[in-house]
Formats: sequence, structure tokens, C-alpha cells
Amino acid sequence: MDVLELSRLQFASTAIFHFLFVVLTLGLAPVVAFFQTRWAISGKEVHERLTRYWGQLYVVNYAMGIVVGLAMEFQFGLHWSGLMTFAGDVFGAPLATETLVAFFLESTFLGMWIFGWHRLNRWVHTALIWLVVLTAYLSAYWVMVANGFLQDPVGHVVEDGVARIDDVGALLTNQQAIGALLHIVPVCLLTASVVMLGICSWHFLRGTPDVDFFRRSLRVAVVMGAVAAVFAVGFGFAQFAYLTDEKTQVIDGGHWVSFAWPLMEISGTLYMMIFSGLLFFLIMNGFDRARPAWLRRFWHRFYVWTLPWPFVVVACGWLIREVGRQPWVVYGELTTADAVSAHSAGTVLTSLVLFGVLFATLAVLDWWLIARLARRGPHDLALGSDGVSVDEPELVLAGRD
Amino acid sequence: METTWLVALGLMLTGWSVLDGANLGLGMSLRRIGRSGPERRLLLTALGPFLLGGEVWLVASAGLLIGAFPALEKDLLTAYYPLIVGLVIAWVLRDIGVWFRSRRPSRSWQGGWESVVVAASTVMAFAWGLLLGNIVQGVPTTGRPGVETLVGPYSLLWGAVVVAVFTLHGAVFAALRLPRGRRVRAAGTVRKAGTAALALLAAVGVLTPAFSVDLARPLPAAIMGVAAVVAVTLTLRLFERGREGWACACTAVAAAAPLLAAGLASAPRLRAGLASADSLDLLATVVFPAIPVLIAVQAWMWWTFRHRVGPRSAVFF
Ligand code: HDD
Ligand code: HEM
Ligand code: HEM
Repeated sequence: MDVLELSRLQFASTAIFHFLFVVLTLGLAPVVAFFQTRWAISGKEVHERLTRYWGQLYVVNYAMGIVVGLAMEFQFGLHWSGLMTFAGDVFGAPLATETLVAFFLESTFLGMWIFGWHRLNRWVHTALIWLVVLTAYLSAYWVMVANGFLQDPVGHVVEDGVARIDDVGALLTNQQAIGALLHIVPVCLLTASVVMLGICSWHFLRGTPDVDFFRRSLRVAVVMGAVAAVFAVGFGFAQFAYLTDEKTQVIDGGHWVSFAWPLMEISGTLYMMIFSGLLFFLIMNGFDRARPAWLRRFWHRFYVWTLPWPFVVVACGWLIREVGRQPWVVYGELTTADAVSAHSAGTVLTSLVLFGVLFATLAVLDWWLIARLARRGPHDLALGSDGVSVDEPELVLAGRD
Repeated sequence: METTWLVALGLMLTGWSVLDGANLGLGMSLRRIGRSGPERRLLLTALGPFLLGGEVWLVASAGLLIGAFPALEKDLLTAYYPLIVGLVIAWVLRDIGVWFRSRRPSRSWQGGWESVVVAASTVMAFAWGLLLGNIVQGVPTTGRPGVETLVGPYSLLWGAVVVAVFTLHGAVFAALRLPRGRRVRAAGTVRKAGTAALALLAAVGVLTPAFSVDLARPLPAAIMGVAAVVAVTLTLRLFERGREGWACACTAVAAAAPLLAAGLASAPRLRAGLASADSLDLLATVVFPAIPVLIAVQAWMWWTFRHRVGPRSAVFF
């Protein structure tokens, strides 16, 4: 493989790894915030456990989102110097804005939220998680403005081979950014619903003693999933209004990523059907009564085994969007071949292998840890604890020694 | 206007050196200051609230570099490719080590991640020092400097300086955050790191002319060097007297000094990488109003967690 292919592969794998974690972060954050708000209002113990249980899964997932995001941030300068020269002045601005006004605040607030248990007033603490949600979605918006510019470069003029912003409004309201975001947001919520559904089902299969806890979680997951699936599909089809010809061809078939399209379309439709069915059962209060036990077990198993599926679909969607843009980096203006940095193939291969092995290993470990925490159920929670747990009975914390 | 952007970048990077410098220093000494598993968890609890809020300054610096200095970012990342890759990998491992260490009770799991934190924090600080040492010697406009510069003796010296000042800073920070009874654990590290930092800073002072490194602006760099020496000396005195708060203020100066020295010495070169005027005007409407907000939010965070770790501290890492 040459430098171009290696650099593309490195960007693609880093970006997809990043999004696999971000998609769940964005989806779970509002759920955690919702539970915490209910806890702040009711003061009930079950609401506290709901917040802490889903919150710890959210937080452990977040860790990987951050570290892969760090690698993402350096990809442009490391491998796409032609892009920085040509379009750095335009698409650097939204990326800079994102780090400064979104990530910066998000990280600071999240740190305060994780370590603010027992220390902050409960309303302030609840406000913090909502601020995290807000800044997380804000950062998604700014990233998509940068990415949207690559898909459809609006709002700029080219002088001496360098792009300069001349219409900020057009850049910020780029339909390629807004349209994609409208699809991505419900996709994130849908993904979180599927994950919650899978985890609750696992516990039901095991005959969990915490029936009330997981029923409550399931209700939220079903309502959120039903709404999100409809919007995800609706805004998915809405994107056809402005797909480029190249992408339409990819979707029509014959391209190597064409396989991704039917997966996305079929999964979207199926999720819409499944969740509306579940919503129906929920409204009829018929989860247990309407179905014989074997059928219930079948569906529970189905939800557990298909838990990873939305992540596959998400990767497919991105493959269509990004590979469908080829051979352009900035559509119609700069080709990928002109944008790539002049490194030797060996250099890029080395970093590709290093990052690839590192992220693959850490991702597997992270998912394993999340699965462990999820299976343990709402007991002995890590988040918001004072450190004395079954895991570490000998921990001598300050003041207790 | 051009200077304002350099000041903004300098502010972000100084913030990172001071705040994450303490985290890195604590990480490097995790197994030395913390003698047992529970003691190390105590240290991580002390570090906890500041990890995200500290490293985000470097994230923001990189963002500002992309937005306001696209040409400089391209030159830096092309020229120092191996250093940047090493820095990012160490950064990833440091973070993951801290997050994963206490997720399982197994001793070998925890010990393994503690070692990862120690090694990765050291490598990250060292890579940062190497980077500064290289920048001081001039950022090439095309291609990469030779190995003899990239990891030459002079650059290695800068790496060692940053490791020493961060270790000192982190140890003082640990003493400041640990419960009173346990703060003495950090004393040995403070003494050793302080002595090493003084020796290494003196070596840079002697070797910069000896290697005939051509600084664009030598005077401000020399002033920063002297400030660092004074700060480290004061730290050792203040720490002996149990004035950790003031000692930490001094180590903060020492932690920022290498960055400021390198930045001031090479300012003309860095400024050459600025974006075009219209982009900067646009960015200015976001960045300059944002900075006071960012500082206020961080100040709120430090205020919230200003106490030593105690029974009411939330434990997560
Ligand atoms: C669980 C995940 C998921 C599901 C069920 C769907 N999508 Fe999707 N889709 C994504 C996850 C996703 C994504 C990963 O989030 C993408 C990648 C880039 C983007 O904007 O969203 C995406 C991109 C994407 C694109 C490419 C946009 C572009 O290239 O600019 C189209 C045309 C659609 N989607 C259409 C659909 C339709 C019609 C669906 C349902 C029938 C659907 N998607 C379900
Ligand atoms: C996290 C979400 C993202 C994912 C999953 C993603 C996915 C991908 C994929 C699969 C490729 C490889 C394309 C190929 O091999 O032909 C790619 C390339 C690329 N993407 Fe994205 N991308 C994401 C976000 C972004 C954003 C936000 C930007 C810009 C700000 C961007 C810019 C690029 C660039 C510059 C390349 C390399 C050039 C190319 O091969 O087209 N990506 N990305
Ligand atoms: C190519 C462009 C991208 C870059 C350079 C990038 C960079 C980063 C960085 C540096 C972080 C860590 C920040 C921290 O310390 O908190 C991060 C996290 C995050 N990113 Fe990205 N990212 C990109 C693509 C995306 C996309 C496409 C989305 C969403 C649609 C997204 C959403 C997020 C969110 C919500 C976080 C918070 C952490 C998490 O959710 O795990 N990013 N990103």
C-alpha cells in the first residue's frame, strides 16, 4: 500500500473507533441526566441507583471516546498537510471552536460531575450533567460543520490556491452538516436504547432480584428507542435530498462499500418495527401477560445477542459518507491524493500499526470492563462511591485510617 | 493582533504545563510516593478531579493551533512526526491507566496499570521536553530534522529537564492534596527531583551557548531559565517549612518555564504560521470571549476541590 492508502486507512480506523464510543456517550448522557433529575426531585433511592448504574457505564465508555479523540485531533496535521494548507483557514475555525467552547467545558464539567458526589449541592450536581449533555451535542455540531464542509464546501472563496471563509452563515447552516446531525442524534439515542434493552434483557434472563430497577430502565429505553428509530429513519431518507451523484451510485450498488447501504436500510426499518412493537406492549402493560415464557426468553436472548449490531451499522453509515466522497477530500476542490503529507510509507505504516494495536486492545478491554459492570447489576456501584467496596474492602481512605 | 494569538496559545499551553504537569508528575511518582495499593488509590483520588480539567488544556491548544496557526501546525506535525506519535500514545496510555487501574480488584491488574501510568507519564513529559528542545533549535519549513537533532543530546537534555520539573511539581501537588498525616511520603521525591532539576537547568544554561544553539531571542529565554532556578530553590525551602501551598505556586512557575522559554525564544518563527486575517477575525469573536469563561469554570472546579482528600471525597479512579 502507498502512503495515500495507509493514511486513509489510519484516518478511517481512528475515526470509526472514535465514533463507536462517542455514539454511546451521546446516547447515554441524556438518559443519565434524566434519571438524575428524577432523583433530585424525588430523592428516592431507586432513582439514585439508576443514575449511578447507567452513569458508570457511560463514564467508562467515555474514557475510550476521549483517548481516541486525542489521536483524531492530530490526524489532520500528521497526514493531511495538503488539506491544512488548502482548507486549514476554513475548517480549522470550527474545529478550534469545538475544542475551546465545547470539549473544554464538557471535560471540566464531567470531571466535576464524577468527583462532585457528596460534595456539591444536588441541584448543582444535576445541572452539571445537563451541561455535559449540552456541550457534548454542541461539540457534535461543530465537528459536523467541519465534516460538512468537506462534503459540500460552501461559504468560501479560493485565492492563490488557499480557501478563505467569506460566508460564515453558509458554513454554519451547511445542509451537509445539519442534515447529517439530524440523522446522527436519533441514531445515538437509538444505539443507547438498544444497549439498555440488551442489558436489561440479560438481567431478566438471569432472574434478577432487581426487577423494579430493570423494569424502570426498560421503560425509558423503549420509549426513547421508539421515538429515536422513527426520526433516525426519517432523517436518513431525508439525506437523499442532497446526496452527491457519487454517493447515489454507491447506494445503487457496484461499489465496494455498497454492501453498507442495505445493512443500514434494513436495520433502520427493523429497529423501527421492533421498538414500536415494544412500545405497544408497554402501553398495554403486556410484557409478561401477552407472551408465553418461551417467547419471552427468545426475545430476551435476541436483544442480548444483537446488542453490538447498531455499532456495526454506524460504521457502515460512515463508510458510505466518507468513502463515498472519494476521490475528493474537499468535494470538487481538493483530491485526497493532493492532500496527503509526503511521508514515507514505512513511517505511516509504523504509526498505523502502533495506533491500531493500541486502540484495538484498549477497546476490547474497555468493552469487557463495561460488560463486567453491567453484569454486576445495581450493587456495589463504582460511580459516586466512597471507595469502600466488596472489591476493595481494605481501602484505607483518608480520615478512616 | 498577531502577538495576541501567540499569547492565547501561550496561555493554553502554560495552563497545560501547570495543571497537567502536576498530574503527570504525580503519575510518574505513583509507585514511589504510594507504597501500597490503597495508598496509590489515595493518590489517584487526589488526582481524580483534576485529570480531565488538566489535560483539556492541551486538547484546546491543539485546537487553537489548527484554527489559528494551520501552517505552523502542519510544519510542527510534519517535522516532529515521531515525537508527536510517541506523545499521543503515551497520553492515551496514561489516561487509560488511570481510568482502568481500579476497575478490578486483582492485584496484578492494578499493579500492571500502575506501572503503565508511571511509564506513560514519564514518556509523555519526556516527549514534550524533546519537542520543546527541538523547537528551540528551529522549526524546519519542509521535511524533518535529522536524528541527531530530533533525539540529539541537546534535545534529550530538554526532555530530562521537563521530567525533573514535572516530577517536582507533581510531588508537591501530592503533598498538598494528601491527608496531612501522609504528606511526608512525598518529601523524598521533592528533594531528589528538586536537586535534579537544578542541575539540569544549569546544564541547559551552559550547553545552549556551548552547542551554539541559535536562539532568535535569547534574553527572554535566559530570564525564564533564571526564574525556574529561583522557583525550584524557593520550593525546596518552602517545602521544608511545610508551606506546601506556596511551594506549589513556585513549582508551577518551574513547570511553565521550559515552555515559556522555548516559546519566547522562537516567537518570530511561530508567528509565521498564522492563518489569514478574515479567519482570525472570525475565530477572535469566539476565542476571546470564551477564554474568561473557560478560566472561570476551571476556577470553580479548583475551588470545589481545594480541600485535601478526606472521608467525603468521591472515589472513582
Ligand atoms: C444505528 C445506526 C444507523 C441506522 C439504523 C441508520 N443509519 Fe444512516 N447513518 C448512520 C447510522 C445509521 C451514521 C453512522 O450515523 C451516519 C454516518 C454519517 C452520518 O451522517 O450518519 C449515517 C449516514 C447515512 C447516509 C449517508 C449520508 C451522507 O453520505 O452524507 C444516508 C443516506 C443514510 N444514513 C440513510 C439512512 C436510512 C435511509 C436509514 C433507515 C432506513 C438509516 N440511514 C439508518
Ligand atoms: C467520527 C466520525 C467520522 C468517521 C467515522 C469518519 C470515517 C472516515 C472514513 C471511513 C474515512 C476513509 C475514507 C476512505 O478510505 O476513502 C475517512 C477519511 C477521512 N475523513 Fe472522516 N470520518 C469521521 C469524521 C470526520 C470529520 C469530522 C472530518 C473532518 C473534519 C473527517 C475528515 C476525513 C478526512 C480528511 C479523511 C481522509 C481523506 C479521505 O480518505 O477521504 N472525518 N473518514
Ligand atoms: C475528525 C474530527 C474529530 C476530532 C478531531 C475529534 C476530536 C476529539 C477529541 C480530541 C476528543 C476528546 C476531548 C476531551 O478531552 O474531552 C473527542 C471527544 C468527543 N468527540 Fe470527537 N472528534 C472528531 C469527530 C467527532 C464526531 C464526528 C463526533 C460526533 C458526531 C464527535 C463527538 C465527540 C464527543 C461527544 C466527545 C466527548 C467524549 C466522548 O463522547 O467519548 N467527535 N473528540
